[in-house]
Amino acid sequence: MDAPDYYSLFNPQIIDSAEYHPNYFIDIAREFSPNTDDDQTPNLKEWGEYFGHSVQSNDIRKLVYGYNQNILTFLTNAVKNRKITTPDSLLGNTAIDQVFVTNNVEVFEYLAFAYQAADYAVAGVWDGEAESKKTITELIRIGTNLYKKCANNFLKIRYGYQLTRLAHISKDYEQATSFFDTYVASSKTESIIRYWALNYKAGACKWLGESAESIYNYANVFAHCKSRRAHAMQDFSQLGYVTRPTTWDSAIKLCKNADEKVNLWAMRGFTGFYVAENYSYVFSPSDWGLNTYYDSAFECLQNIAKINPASKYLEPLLGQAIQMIEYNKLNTKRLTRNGGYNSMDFYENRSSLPYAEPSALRDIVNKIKANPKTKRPYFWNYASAYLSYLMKDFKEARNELKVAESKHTTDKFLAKEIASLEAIMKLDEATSVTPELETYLLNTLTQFDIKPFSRKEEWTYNFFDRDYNPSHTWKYIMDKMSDLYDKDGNFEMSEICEPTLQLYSMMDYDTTDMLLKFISKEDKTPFQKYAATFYPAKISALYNLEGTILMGRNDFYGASVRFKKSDDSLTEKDYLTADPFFIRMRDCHDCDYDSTSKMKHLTKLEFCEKMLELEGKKDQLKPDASAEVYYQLANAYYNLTGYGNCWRALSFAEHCSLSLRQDCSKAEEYYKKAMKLTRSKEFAAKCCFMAAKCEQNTFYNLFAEFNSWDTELRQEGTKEKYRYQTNFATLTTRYSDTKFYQQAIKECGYLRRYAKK
Amino acid sequence: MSLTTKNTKLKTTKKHKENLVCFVKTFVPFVVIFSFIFILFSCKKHHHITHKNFYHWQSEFNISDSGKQRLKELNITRLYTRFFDVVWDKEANQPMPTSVVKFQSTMPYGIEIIPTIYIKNEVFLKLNDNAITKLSQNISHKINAMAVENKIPFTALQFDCDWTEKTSAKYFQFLKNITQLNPKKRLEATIRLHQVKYFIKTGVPPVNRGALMFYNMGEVSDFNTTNSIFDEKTAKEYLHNFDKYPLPLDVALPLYHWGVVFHNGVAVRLAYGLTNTDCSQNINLEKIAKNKYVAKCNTIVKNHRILQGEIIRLEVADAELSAQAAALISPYIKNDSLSVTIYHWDEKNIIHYSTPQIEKIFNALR
Repeated sequence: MDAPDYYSLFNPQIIDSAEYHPNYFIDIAREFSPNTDDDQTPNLKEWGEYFGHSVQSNDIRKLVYGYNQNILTFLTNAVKNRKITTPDSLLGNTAIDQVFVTNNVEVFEYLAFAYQAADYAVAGVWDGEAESKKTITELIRIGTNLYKKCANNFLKIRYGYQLTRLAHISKDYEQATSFFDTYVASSKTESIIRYWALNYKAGACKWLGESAESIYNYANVFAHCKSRRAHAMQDFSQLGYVTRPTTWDSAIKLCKNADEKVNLWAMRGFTGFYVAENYSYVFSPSDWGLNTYYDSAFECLQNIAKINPASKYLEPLLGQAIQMIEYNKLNTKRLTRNGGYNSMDFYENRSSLPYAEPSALRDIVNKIKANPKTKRPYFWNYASAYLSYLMKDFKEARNELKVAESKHTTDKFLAKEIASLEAIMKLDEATSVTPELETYLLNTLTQFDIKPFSRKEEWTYNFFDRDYNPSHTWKYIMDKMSDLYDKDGNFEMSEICEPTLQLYSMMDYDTTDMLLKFISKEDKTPFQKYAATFYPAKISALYNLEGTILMGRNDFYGASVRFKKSDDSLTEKDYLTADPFFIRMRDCHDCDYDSTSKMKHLTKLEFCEKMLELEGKKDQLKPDASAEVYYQLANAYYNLTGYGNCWRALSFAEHCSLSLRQDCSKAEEYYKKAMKLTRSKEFAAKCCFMAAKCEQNTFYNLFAEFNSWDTELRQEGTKEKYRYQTNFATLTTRYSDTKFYQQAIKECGYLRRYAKK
Repeated sequence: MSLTTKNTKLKTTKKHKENLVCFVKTFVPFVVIFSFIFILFSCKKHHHITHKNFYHWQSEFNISDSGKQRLKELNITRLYTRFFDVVWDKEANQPMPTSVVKFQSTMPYGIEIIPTIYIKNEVFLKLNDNAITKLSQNISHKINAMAVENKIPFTALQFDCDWTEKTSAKYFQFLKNITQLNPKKRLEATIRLHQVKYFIKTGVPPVNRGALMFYNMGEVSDFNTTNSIFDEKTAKEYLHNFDKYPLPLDVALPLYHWGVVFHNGVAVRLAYGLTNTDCSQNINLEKIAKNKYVAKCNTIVKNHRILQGEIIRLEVADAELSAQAAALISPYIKNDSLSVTIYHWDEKNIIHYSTPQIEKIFNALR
């Protein structure tokens, strides 16, 4: 299931946390990673502070990320030996210039080493283990010497990072932790690099089986280093803390202060579902109750609130906990009606997910909101209201909403959600549609700009974008109104609020016309007008649809009137796919369909007008000419059926077999008429043959089951079939001496078999 | 000519005729019968099995003494050992090795190790033409380095890549480079059924031999699939163009099992090694179809965590099925001699099969 496929009325936009957006939604939590920065930005910021304002940021970027070991080694030598000429390509770089001016060769020395280490980190993966170890050992030796020589703390911590990383890559985890402790932890320099290195130490601890230490370190990376946050979370989630409480307790004991404890709980809260979905563990069931599933968000929220009720993690974790409840409790109705895995069976049998009971969560929320240290207490009032709503305690919900409204001043997102929840509750209480209800809802929807759910890209959801509108309030309101309209017998509005009819597949004139009349009429209530603007089938398309349906009924006049009213620009679907007046001896659906020039044939309107013209004159001409007109008309009627080359003309949907017309009786009638009128025996033979085809098609339309592998059924079918071969009888008795007959008997196996009998 | 001579001649001739008739009467029936038998058995293609092998695909190469003994009993001559995979690393924006095997036991005596490398097709989709040489050098270097470090002499290499029409040019160039870098090694590539059926489009890799993967032909993620490991109906749809396929083919057959776990109808993971016994003995799993179980509540089965409502579809390729698969493909392999490899060596799984049962798989191709 995907986020748009279920109701979520708790809009994450109200959560004040651009940095820690929760893992919405459960099924996409796998693909979701929290807001992260790239590595370069914070590092370049630090280099910028190191170099000072006189150096341009682009030059720093070039120096730190844009060169290579050879260039930096050259520059190192050039500083030491001023006789070496700097090539033109390196001139003008203000960062390089400053190093030369200040004689700060250590910068180049460090960067040369960093490039070398970074290159090997990528290229070295292709070496064998022993080879790689040898190379890294040498790099570590070089790096350690450079560290010892270096007097610059800004660079020293960076050496520490490189050494920790190299040791980690060579899988010498003890050395990695040792390097971190010696060269990074001991440094007093504030730098993001500390956490880059800490990430490696955390990984090393993991490999050394020091789970508690590993978890503790990952939590610190999570808290302080955006660019490594997702990675830390991923590794953290593999550490089995869920199933080994002792590991968790040990990790908590490592925390030096309340903030660190909160970080640990927060990380656990955000990664909890990763654990369930992606990894299997070896553990003993006695460690953990199998039947009490683990809702990390709820538990962590509780623990963080105890430690720091003003923590920035509380709101996003609450959002996550509410999402879990919504998934399980709120969704008694499916939003989408696609096939595949969203079909009813899977929806109704969907796996439940762990969630806290709303009452339990509300208790925690109420404690948080009552705490004077809480940030944004009005948010917690709203959250309490929402949970009360989920518990159907509307009175309590309204009380809390009043408090929230009184406390907040300028939070427009919250104002919108307060109004939304009021509207939802009013709707839930309503038993029928009233003008007051319509007015109230319309005012709420328009005043607060509550819109339908929007999806920016297929399958990706940018929940960090506050302009993104992930709430289903609009859809929920419309769906509920649809139910109420339906109860009140207002079929049109029920359909308009919640489009369920597959109009283009149904091809039902009465339904289409009813909707068309309703949407077109002026005297609708403001709410009805508003809702109609969202209905997917617009007036023009409905006229087009009606015209097509009437065309299928051979009402070419009615069809042409509708087509003229449809003022959409013509698309491929408005053109016939072949010449409807051209016929073949053997049916070949798509032989006449030229895929390279779909739009060269008649439009549906032109076809209807042509048919009207031919119908008008068919009885006005001399017999032979009249026969020809009847023949053309017969061809057209035949080609509009599923047996002909314009079968798509009566289809609207992409894949539509329902609208295929199979009835060839009109075509048969006209072929026979042509046969009677014409004085040409050859032409009559042709008409008779075509009439025979129609008759045979009629047999198959009526008795399709006789064309089965079942012998008994086939025998039954054979008996019936004779009754539908009167035209074959005529053809063989009257026209067997014609050239056409000779050709037909060669091409048509059915005729051959009949003739043999 | 005197009458005697003539008579003698006549007598001789007559005797010869009699002898001839006797010969014909005696031996022709046998000839006819033998011809019939010959023709009858000619319809079934016979192969000479040159090597009986297993794939070793686990991340740790750790064969116990009993495992080595079993390999010996089965007369296994080669272990196609996955050395590492190559995937496209988004961060580094280049191909990187991953899941490098760790050799933790000595090599089984008398068995040749064939380094096998799996390369994701995505690598060749994203790789620039001018990076192919570097990739082949890197991979070749790593294979040789690992072989030297672990004292593994090898005479052949196998590459496993589900290449497509789009990636064929780059993949084939890569293989050519590998050949140049390892001129004394025999080069093999896995071939999937669709790559035979549509070989005109997808091409034929420039290798010495192909290893036809006669398994994994179904759509594992499709809820309605019965057994994605081997499905005879699906397999038959692909049994075309073998007579025209220009590369000599060896055959790889399955002998493994797993559970496909579906969450709301979507395949979310594979539960390796899961069996019917594991599921039927778990009180929290309810059988809903021949090879499907649903979790009545959250549960753990053989270290796999299954959430309430999730459905497990068990798929098995046992020795019986594998032998059937072998019999099915046998007539289509036109080369007389072939090497047969079973996927894959897992001691915990292999102990469930007797030597005759496994022999039956190989024999089905004889």
